[in-house]
Amino acid sequence: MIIEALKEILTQAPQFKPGLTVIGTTSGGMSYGEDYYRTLRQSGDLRRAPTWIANYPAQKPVIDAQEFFGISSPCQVIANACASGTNAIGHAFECVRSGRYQRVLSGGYDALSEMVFVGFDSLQASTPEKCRPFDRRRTGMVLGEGAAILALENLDSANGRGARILAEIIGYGISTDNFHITQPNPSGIGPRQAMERALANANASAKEVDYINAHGTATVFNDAAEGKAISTLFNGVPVSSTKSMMGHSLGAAGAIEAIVCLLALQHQFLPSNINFRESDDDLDLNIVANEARPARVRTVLSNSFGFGGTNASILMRKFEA
Amino acid sequence: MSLAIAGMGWVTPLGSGVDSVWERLLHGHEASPTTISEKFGDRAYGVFRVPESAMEGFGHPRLRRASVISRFAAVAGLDALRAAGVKLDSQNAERTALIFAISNGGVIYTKRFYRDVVDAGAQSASPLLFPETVFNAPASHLAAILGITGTTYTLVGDGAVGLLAIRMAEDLMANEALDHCLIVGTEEVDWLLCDAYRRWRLLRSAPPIEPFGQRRGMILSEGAGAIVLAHLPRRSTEEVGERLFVVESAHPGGNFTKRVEAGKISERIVRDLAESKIDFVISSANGTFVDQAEYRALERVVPNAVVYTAKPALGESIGAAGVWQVILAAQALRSAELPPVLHADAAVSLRLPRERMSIPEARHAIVLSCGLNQQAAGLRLAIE
Repeated sequence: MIIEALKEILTQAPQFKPGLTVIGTTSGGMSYGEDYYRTLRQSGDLRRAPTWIANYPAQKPVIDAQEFFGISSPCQVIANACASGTNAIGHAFECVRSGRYQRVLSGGYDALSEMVFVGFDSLQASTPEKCRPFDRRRTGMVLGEGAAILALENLDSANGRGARILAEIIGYGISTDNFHITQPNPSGIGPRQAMERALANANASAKEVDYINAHGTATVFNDAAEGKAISTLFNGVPVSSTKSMMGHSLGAAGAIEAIVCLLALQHQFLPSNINFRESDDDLDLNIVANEARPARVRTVLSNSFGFGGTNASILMRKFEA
Repeated sequence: MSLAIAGMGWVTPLGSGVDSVWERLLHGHEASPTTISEKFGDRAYGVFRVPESAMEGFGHPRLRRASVISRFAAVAGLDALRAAGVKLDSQNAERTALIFAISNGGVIYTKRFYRDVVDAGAQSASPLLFPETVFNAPASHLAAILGITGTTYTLVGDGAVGLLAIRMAEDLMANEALDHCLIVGTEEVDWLLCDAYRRWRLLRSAPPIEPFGQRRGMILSEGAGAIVLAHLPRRSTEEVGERLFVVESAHPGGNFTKRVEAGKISERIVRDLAESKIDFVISSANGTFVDQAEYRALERVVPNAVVYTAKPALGESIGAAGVWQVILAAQALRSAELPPVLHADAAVSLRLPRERMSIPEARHAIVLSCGLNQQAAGLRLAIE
């Protein structure tokens, strides 16, 4: 999956030479670890064990994918649970903005594994039904998988080489709410601080935001806390969770949703929150229900939150030369 | 960018407390191995575990159900902050970042969680264990204990991850909104890890680790190391103590895809860090292919430097190892001494301290870390 994502980037920007790669994941090569343990436990054939073990480390697929394309930049692999992808992009953005790096590859990946699937099910966070973020009768998340990579570059450098600039990242906010290892603080303070910090980091006001791609897992607790935080900070800004269409791809989710935001900026539309039937009376949100619609979109915010009370938001703006 | 090390703490198989463990290393002590086995496994392995006494007197309600990895991290992290004189409160908690360096993470609970699934089916999966299997569980526990409300990252990698975390801290601290960065490297040991590394031909079943020798393999260990980084202008020598440790340069590191390429990347890192004089190197030699990679790099670039590795005494703690190495370098600079390298063959041509060695003029050190899974990193440390 990482190779496919990188291939698409290098087709668009073949001369992009990163100085650093920052990638988010939640579980790395967990399915290889499962193969090894299950086979060991059940006294199976362990001849493939060295391969399983070699593929377990979280950095392995990133380094292998880079090697496939002759990229040798050092890797930082962030595992901040479901916020990992947005954390990776946010950290990469700060690395470029500080001038320490000119070009950084950034994004996230995660592949489905039995352990993760069963784990979320044991918490009763996943649902066998449709994923209905922010719906009054939401019943939980649907897991997904994937990879998404973004090429981040200093504006002068990108202009200098005549790059096609898709958008600007203008702000990043991170917070830790310390409430519970799996549940957000019901007050929404963690998400609110992440969004506030992203706005402050960009010197932007809430009024400038035209669309919010919410974390929106469709769990009762996440959507309640995030919804409360959004309605406290923003007044009627259109909101959708595209996890309703693609599921929750964990460490990849933030990166995939950043690309959804880029597409919204590029094609001037609001992505939809499908499977939405009924508003939740406790949430004062302007949901982009069931159908995408055209809109003037200049500034967008993307949220990702994870276990351990980790929260991340990035702010992106349409690039105008 | 240069940063000061304002505080250090560690939990090791030789105990806890920076000075007391250092003293034991100077006297040539080696951790005592514990043998661990598994009902369904046909082998037992010797490992270096953290003794109970190293955690004496520590407890926190948040950790009552957490795995030992989180306790190691909390003890080391709190020690480092105490040594740095940093008290976190609602005013400054947002201006302190926390970076965790880990490799395998909470492997004990991960195994228990998945064992139940394999043995009894998905309906037996424990919702209490699952959150502790997530890589950032130890970081979230420590953030909650300390009340850190801003930046918390868990960086995953191999034995180089501790130094990569320090590089990440340098990147973060380029942002002036931060006063301090607490870096914690941590790992816990389990039979499953031993078996995996043995199948990968990197582990021997019992000590000793023989550095720079015949690649007979490593011994796994566990624990945590923590350092507090501060901006140099904001921390004077008066504040920090009589001597100031400065991370002059944290190398961005590099990757290798085949083990035979590890020497090349290690050499590049040493070359970049040795542009001006260096006095000694804290190596990550652990009895595996890593030793030959570093041997070659050091012999070519800094043939006269004294080279020390603590892994024969402390074992290979992977996620914790890099931060331990930085603490070792700082202690060597502070005390102007290096402990003896244990179990090294007489034929090794590097300048190893075979006995406790005085290094009165030493001001600059390189910490070099070549990991087992394709990553390598290094940094340059000085004392002012």
